[in-house]
This record gives sequence, structure tokens and C-alpha cells, in this order.
Amino acid sequence: MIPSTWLQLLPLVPALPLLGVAVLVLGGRRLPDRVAATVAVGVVGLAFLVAVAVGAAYLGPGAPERAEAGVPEGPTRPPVVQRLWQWMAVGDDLVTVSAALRPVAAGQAVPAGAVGEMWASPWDPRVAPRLRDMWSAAAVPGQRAGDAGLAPYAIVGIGDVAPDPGPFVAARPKLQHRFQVDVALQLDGLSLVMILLVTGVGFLILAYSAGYMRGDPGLRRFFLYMDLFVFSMLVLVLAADFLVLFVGWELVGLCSYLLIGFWHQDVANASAGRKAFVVNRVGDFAFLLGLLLVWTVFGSLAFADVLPNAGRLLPLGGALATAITLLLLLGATGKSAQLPLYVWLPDAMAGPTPVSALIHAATMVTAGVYLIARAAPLFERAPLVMLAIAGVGAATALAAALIALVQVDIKRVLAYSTISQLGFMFLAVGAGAYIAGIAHLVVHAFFKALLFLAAGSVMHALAHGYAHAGVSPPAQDDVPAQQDVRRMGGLLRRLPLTAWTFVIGGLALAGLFPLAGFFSKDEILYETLGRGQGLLDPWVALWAVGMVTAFLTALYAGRLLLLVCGGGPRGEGAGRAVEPSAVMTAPLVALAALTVAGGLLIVPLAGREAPLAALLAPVLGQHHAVGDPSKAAVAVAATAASLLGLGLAWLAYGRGALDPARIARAAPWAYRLAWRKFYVDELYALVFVRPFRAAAPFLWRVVDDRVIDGAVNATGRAVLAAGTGARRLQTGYVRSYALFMLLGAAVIAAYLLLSAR
Amino acid sequence: MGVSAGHLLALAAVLFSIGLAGVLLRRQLILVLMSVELMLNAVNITLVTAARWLVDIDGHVYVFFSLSVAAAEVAVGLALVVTVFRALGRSDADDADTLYG
Repeated sequence: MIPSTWLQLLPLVPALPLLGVAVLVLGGRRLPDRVAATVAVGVVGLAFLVAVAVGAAYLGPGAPERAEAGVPEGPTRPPVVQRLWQWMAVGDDLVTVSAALRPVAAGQAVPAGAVGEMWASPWDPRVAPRLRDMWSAAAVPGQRAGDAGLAPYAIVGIGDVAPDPGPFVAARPKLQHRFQVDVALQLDGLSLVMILLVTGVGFLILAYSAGYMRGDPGLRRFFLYMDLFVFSMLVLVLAADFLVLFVGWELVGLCSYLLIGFWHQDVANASAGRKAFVVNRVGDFAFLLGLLLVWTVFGSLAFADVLPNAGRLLPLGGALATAITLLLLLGATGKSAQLPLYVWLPDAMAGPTPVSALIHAATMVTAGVYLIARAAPLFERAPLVMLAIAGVGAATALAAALIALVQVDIKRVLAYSTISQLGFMFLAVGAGAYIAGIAHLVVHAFFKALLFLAAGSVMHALAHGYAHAGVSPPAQDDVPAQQDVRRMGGLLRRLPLTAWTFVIGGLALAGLFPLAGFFSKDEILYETLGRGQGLLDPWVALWAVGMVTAFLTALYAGRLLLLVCGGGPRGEGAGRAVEPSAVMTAPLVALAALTVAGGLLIVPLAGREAPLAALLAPVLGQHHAVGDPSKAAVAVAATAASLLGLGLAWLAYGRGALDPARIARAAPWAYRLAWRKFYVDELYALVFVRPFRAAAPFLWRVVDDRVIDGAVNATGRAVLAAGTGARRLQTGYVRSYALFMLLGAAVIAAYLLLSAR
Repeated sequence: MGVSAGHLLALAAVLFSIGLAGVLLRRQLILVLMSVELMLNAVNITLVTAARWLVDIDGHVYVFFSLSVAAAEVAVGLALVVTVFRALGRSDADDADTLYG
């Protein structure tokens, strides 16, 4: 049994990946590739083990040490906050002495509000001298003031601390800066789930990368970024403070930029990285504004100060709550690739495939969902925004699923499926079903990491196949041959291990019983329907959208599986594909096992609460549906939708009874719309990019060249002119200098004489 | 009528002014140096006067210091004048303008 003192190891979890970064940075070229990869993968594996140990210590049954650590047992297990160091302390101090804030005449009752806390700087000349001088008997509102009355700012008592007649600074019993941020880590059920996910799935992805990236000249740089990515995500989920969370949030954005543009020799990759960064910045800016609002309302950014007080300080449905949560929501849509900021994620395919797996599964995109779950008490104060979250989620899920239906790039299909699945998570957290949302996040991380790594394995195998065949077919529709599902097929026979794990992942994505994806998606649909009352309720409509999306998901998942694995090879690459090495297939098997068994985390078994729900409920609260739809009926409906989708996919791509091309021709505009991704990129180009492009020459030639450079040059010229003028004073005659000294001395003497009077 | 502090301060002021005028108006370095000495001694007189007036020994001590420093300063100053004379062939303050930009 692990004692609770092991909780002290918590900082090691993010520190280990950071150590990996440090080793790779300092080691540089001296490190052989093999060592670099081992270190990078090893530290994340170690971090996972530490996270497991810390989790066990956190959840372990009560030992004597537990009481000392202040962690009571039971379902109301409070979060453990470890303060590492003070990051910043700005502004006045909160002088928590009671101070008379206005004068009170002697003998009068001290009115409420005359005694209280105040913000003051000890150096404030208006306040400090009075505070220093005036001590009087402890006064309480309602009591009569002493003989002399109370002067403003008289310190009249300090709670239970006796007045100290010493200097003011020493007399402050408690100091709190107006803006104070501590670097602190918070461990509770939610962050525990997240760190286990990030380090666990991250470790599998990194281990896989060791095989996938072998021989790449930038291998050390790759692993450096990957470790940094894991570190950033751990900072994000372990933060006990919105600002530290924001640091992780930004670091994650930076890492995505670095990794998406990893092969930056190709301009397209570099600009994809830039796109991810810029689009994310839009959301980040909103997030930052939201944080400023949070601080104005709560006076603090620490979760412990903000979240429990949300109910008290934010009126339900008020403008303030709506503004804060809307801004946070916009930030979340940026990171989690939801409408309207999802456009970066499909382009994020430009990075190496393990990067996509990391971004889509363990890190980055889950941040938005995590944020909403973490800040749930804030979101609860704005029901309208909750509905907006669910609406955004449902709309994104539906749109992305439609797009995924027609894409031919294997990675692109998966990317849109991620967007769609994230939409499901948003739907869940919008419905207040945080546990269902986080559960889907976890399960999705399993099967999406699996799908991406398997897709990487397929591409790897196909690239080898093409190399064996000695052909390199050109890219079609900008899709390289080894990523083009139209040239795959028959891989179930050529790459049994990869293809079977891919099938497991795909079926989980489709939500097929008893794979993990079924349970989590079912839970979301159930909770959404449960929110609705009556048929015309918006939640019922959202549930319907969710059902349609579930059907579409099964359809495109089935299409992808059949195109990749079924039938016969449709290209030399697929025909000569070779299974990759065990370094790459072992993580696939592990993830497939997780995908199969993941349902056990979500389902209550043998009368016991589901493990994930038991962990999360103390943080997120148990969710109770308003209505009470039959769980079995929802499950049957969802399964029917999946089976319908898979069946339709089989008819079209397996059996050939339906010709997809004919369907596309029947509604060419619909097909085009989906093929061109609803023209959102084009719309953004028109609305944002083109105006900026048009404005750029003006900004360059006029604003930069004329105004800014002009101002700088004018300053320079002014200084030059002043110097030329002042040069004349320098005659070179010692006597004139002596005269200037005399004049200066005379001026000073005159000032002293005149001011002395 | 004895010599009062006012007289002594007036004498010091006159001496100081003469010295200052000498520094500002004369070009011969030796004379400039002599004028500086004059100013220095005017200040010394002021210090001694103040010390007597306030019955405080500090002023006398200052004067001893300033006298000894003045001796050293004259030695350095004369050496500089000699050097300037050797370099330029004259000892005119306005000729020493090598550093003028």
C-alpha cells in the first residue's frame, strides 16, 4: 500500500518530461539518436509510473498519515494543492486588519462598513502614517466608539490578533497582494484522470514514434518537442490556477506549432503550423479576456478562490456570467477545434503522424473540454452558454462527420472524426454531463490514438510497398499516394496486426457494442435526451442531431475500414505493404486492448459505481437527468444507428450494392459542399485573410515606413540637431568652462538662499 | 573697534572675487594657478572665521586639511604648467585646446 506521503511526488510528473527536454537540449548532437529516443520515451514512461503512484496515494484507504496530510476519506475527497513557489505578487496589499474606513464620532455606534478590510500599500502616504499612529481599542460594528472616536484608517482591531503598537508594517497580521499568483499543482479526480491519460497514452505514442521516426535527421528535435508537449499538457491539467493553466494552454499551442511544422522544409507544412498557431491565438485572446473578467469579479485566479464562490458572486444567467463563460468558450473552441475555430486541425495533418496522434488523443484538443469541465461552476451560472456549448458541439459534430464522409486522405478522415467526436464531448459538457464528457474524452483518446498510430503504420507500410515496387505515383487531389484511401485495400491480409487494431479502433469510433466507444457515446446521448422535457425542447433537438451524427460516424468509420482493409489492393503500395517492426505494433496492441476494455471504466458493474465516475464525481458532481428516458431504449437506438451506418457502408463499399459515385452525382452540390469542407477555409480567406493582405501594403509602406520609422528617424534627427547646437558651447577654452561652472554655482546658491526663506 | 566676523568675511569675499576674476580673465597659466590659490585661501579665511564665531574647532581642522591639500595641488599644478610649456613653448591657457572636438 502506498502511503499518502507519496503525494509529495506530484511535481515529478511534469518535471520528468521537462527533464527529458533539458537532456535533449543540453545533449544536442552529442547524443546518438537511439539514446535521445530512449531518454525521451523513458521520462514519459517514468512520469506515468509516478502518476500511478501518486494516484494510488491519493485514492488509497485511510492510513494514519492520511489524517496528517489533511485528506479525509470518502467520496468528498478534496483536492490536494501543492504550492511550489510564488509566481508574482503585484499591487496593493490587502490589509486584513479592521480599519475604520470613515471617521466615527466618540460615543457613537460604529456603523457596519466603517470597519473592514481595505486595500492599501504600506508606502501610501495618505494611509501609512495614520495607520502607524492610531491604535485604539478593538471595535466591532454596532459597539460604541471609544472616547476619542475613530479617525479614518484607525486600526481598531485585527480579528483575533492583539493590536501591536509597533510600526505599521510589522503590525499587519496577514498580507495578500491584490494580484497574486502562485505556481501550484492541484491533484483531484479530474486532474488525476488527465495526467494518467496524458502520460499513459503519451508514452505509447512516444514509444511508437521511436520506430516511426527512426532515421529521420530531425529525430532529437522531434523528441524534444514531444516531451515539451507532454510537459505543457501536464502543466495545463495540473494547474491550480487559471493563469498557470493558461501557461500550459499557450505552451501546448507553441508545441503544436513546432510539431505541425516539423518538416518545415516544405512550405505547406510550415504554413499549416502557422495556421494552427494563429487560429489558436484567436481563441487564446478570448480566453485571456475571460480570465481578466474572472479576476475583476473574484479578485483571484486560483481555482480554490474562484470556483466555490461562483454561485455567490455570479448572478445566475447574468450578463457577467454570460460574458465570462462565452469568452472561455471561445478559447475552448480554439483549442478543441470546434466551430468556428476548427479549421486548424485538419491542416495539422502536416506534422508527423505520431504528432497527430498526440494532438488528437492525449493533448491539446482535449484542453477545451477539460477547461469547461474544470470551470464547470462558472458555466453553470450561465445556462444560455451551456446551451451554446451543446449547440456548438452538436453542430460541429454533424458538420465534421459530413465532411469526413467524403474525404479520401486517411489522416484527414481521422482529423474530421476527431473534430466530430470533440463535438460530442462539447455536447456532453454543455448538457452538464461532465462525467460523460470526460469519459468520452478518455475513451476517445484510446481509440483515436490507436487509429492514428495504425494509420501511420499503414502509411509507413505503403511507403515501403511503393519503394519495393519501385514506383512513386503522383499525389492525387493533393493527397500523397500512401495516404490515399482510394489506393489502399486488402490490408487485412497484408498487415494483419495493424489492420486488425485499426478495425478495432474504427468500430469503437462507430460506437459498436461492447467496445469502449459505445458506452461513452451512449452515455452522452442519454444525458442529452435526459435534459429535454417535451418534444420541442432544444435538448431533444440536440439529441436528434447527436443520433444523426452517430449514424454518420458509423457510416464514415465503416467506409474508412472497408476502403483501407477490405477488398483487394488498389495500388502497388497496398499490394506490397510490409508490417512494420514490433516497436510500432506493440503500442497498437496495447491501445487496442485499452479500446476493448475501456468500457469497464465507464460501466457500473456488480452494483458498484463505475470507476471513472467514482473518481470524477467529487470534482464534477453527480449529474442527474431532468427527464428520465429509458437507458435501454437510448442504447438500443444508438446501437441501431451505428449498425445502420455500418450496414450502409458495407452495402456501398463492401458488397458494392450501392455506388457511392452515383449518390455523389445525384446531389453534386451536396457532395461538393462536403468535399470542399463547406467552404469555411475559403470564407475565412475572404473575410479575414484577404482584408489583411490588402491592408498589409498600407501598413508596411505608410504606417511602418512613414509613421513608425518616420518617428524614429525624426527623433534621431532632433538629437543630431540638438547636438550640433550644443557643440557651439564647447569652445575649448578652459576659462569659458570655468565661467559656466561659476554660473551654475551661482544658480544653485541662489536657489538655496531663496528656498531657505 | 575690533576686527569682527563681518570684516573677515568681507575680506574673504574680496579675495575670492579677485581670485575668480583672475581665473576667468588671465591667460597665463601661472597666474591662473596663483588666482586659484587666492580663492582657496579666501575660503580658508571663511572657515576659520566661522570656526571662531561658532567656537567650534572643526573649522580649524578643515583649514589644516585644505592647506596641506593645496600644497600638493600646487605641486601638481606647477608640474602640469611646466609640461604644457615644454609641449607648446608657451604657457597660455587658450593654446591647450587639443581635446577640442
